[in-house]
Amino acid sequence: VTQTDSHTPAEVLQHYDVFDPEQNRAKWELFGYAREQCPVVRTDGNGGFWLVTRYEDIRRILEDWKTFSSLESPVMPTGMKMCPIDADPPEQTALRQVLNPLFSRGALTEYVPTMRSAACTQIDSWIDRGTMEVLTEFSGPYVGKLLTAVLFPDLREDEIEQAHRIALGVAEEGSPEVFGELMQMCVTYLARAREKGIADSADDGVVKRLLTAEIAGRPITEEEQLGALAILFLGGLSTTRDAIGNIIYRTATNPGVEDRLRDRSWVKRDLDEFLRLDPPVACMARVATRDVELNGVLIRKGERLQLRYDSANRDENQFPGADHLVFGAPRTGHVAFGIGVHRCIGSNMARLQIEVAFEELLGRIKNLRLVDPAACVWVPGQTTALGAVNVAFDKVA
Amino acid sequence: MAEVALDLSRCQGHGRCSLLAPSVFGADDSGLAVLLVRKVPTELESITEEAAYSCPEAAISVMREGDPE
Repeated sequence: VTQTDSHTPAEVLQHYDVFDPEQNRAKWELFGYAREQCPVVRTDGNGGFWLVTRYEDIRRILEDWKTFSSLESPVMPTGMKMCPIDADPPEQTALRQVLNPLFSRGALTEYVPTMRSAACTQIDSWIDRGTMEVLTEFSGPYVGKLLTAVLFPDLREDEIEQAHRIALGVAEEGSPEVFGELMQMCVTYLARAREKGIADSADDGVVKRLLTAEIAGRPITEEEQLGALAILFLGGLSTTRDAIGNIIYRTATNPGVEDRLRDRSWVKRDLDEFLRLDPPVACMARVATRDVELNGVLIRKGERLQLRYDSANRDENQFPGADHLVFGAPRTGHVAFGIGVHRCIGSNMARLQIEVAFEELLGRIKNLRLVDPAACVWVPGQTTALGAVNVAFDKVA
Repeated sequence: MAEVALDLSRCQGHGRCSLLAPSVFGADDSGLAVLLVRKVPTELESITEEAAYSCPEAAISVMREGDPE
């Protein structure tokens, strides 16, 4: 069992902080201990939370939004509402119904050529070097370009860079300043869309839908428009970037995995196992709407719970051999995309982006191996992400 | 031959079923699952079961012929 600064895991958990680098480097051991010894445990970190670490408890919470509300729930105070993620039905349902059709697999296939060319541009930039850093030289710019094409077709180059920087800042730092920047960016973007008359235009995209939406029989508010835009930025940028980084890390360090990825059915067969092991969204929060007992612990009305998706996905009772990739075994119900009414709106987009990224990547390079493993550590924040994934490779002849 | 049941009250539109068994499941405009065939021929049984197993909301059940009611 890992100890941090000679404190026992139980002591560390009492002060667990999402943004503490040292605690998060050792988070797998920390939450492994919690699952065994204290599955629902109180921390005074981040304003006070019940850390929920077992799969069955997290599933129960996610399926019961009436008792475990998403209102006022964010792990860090964002200074803004971000419906649908921090709302409950019926508002949450209404906004999801407005946005869902844009994120079906069918609706997204038209972007595949854009994805391919974005991947190729990145690969061209380093293929002759024989090495690359995944997050900054491949998955980050790739996902950023995609998000722009799909969600915000008229962002300028400098705005894309700014959006990317903000998304990373929120994920890894979560300061009020970075949320302020995000808000400002969304205000600017929506104002420009209104000026351009997007609401009356023929193209059916996210911004038009947000500008014209009705929520439970009333027009959408500006606050809701801004919040929805903000959460689409956040959800779309760093998560898929990190997922691709994590998968390449596992590929470069596990013999035989690269060959599996060369079989195109890996996306259906193996992708979920990667997402289970290293879920990019490490945790989400809920608020108890009444006094409720959870695994022997009394949660008081108004207290916040931090659902550790990373821990649930490594719960041995649900996933035997949970700390390792196990392919071919029937494994079901990982919570990388969440479950219940708040399940990830962009899961189809993430899957498609990952599929195309690896098709292009493995068509051009082979024999991926990790270099500079010292930089390849889990970073703090609400994500399961590595600081840097440097790989060496050979060109496919 | 197997019989498929879809509990739409559980479906949240993850889209796993339509990806894994496109001849058995579709998706409507909002992404929710649509059952295309209720009685599944033998050659589609295994992908149908995979779809059922992969559903994060446990919304799909498959009853093979001969299974107890």
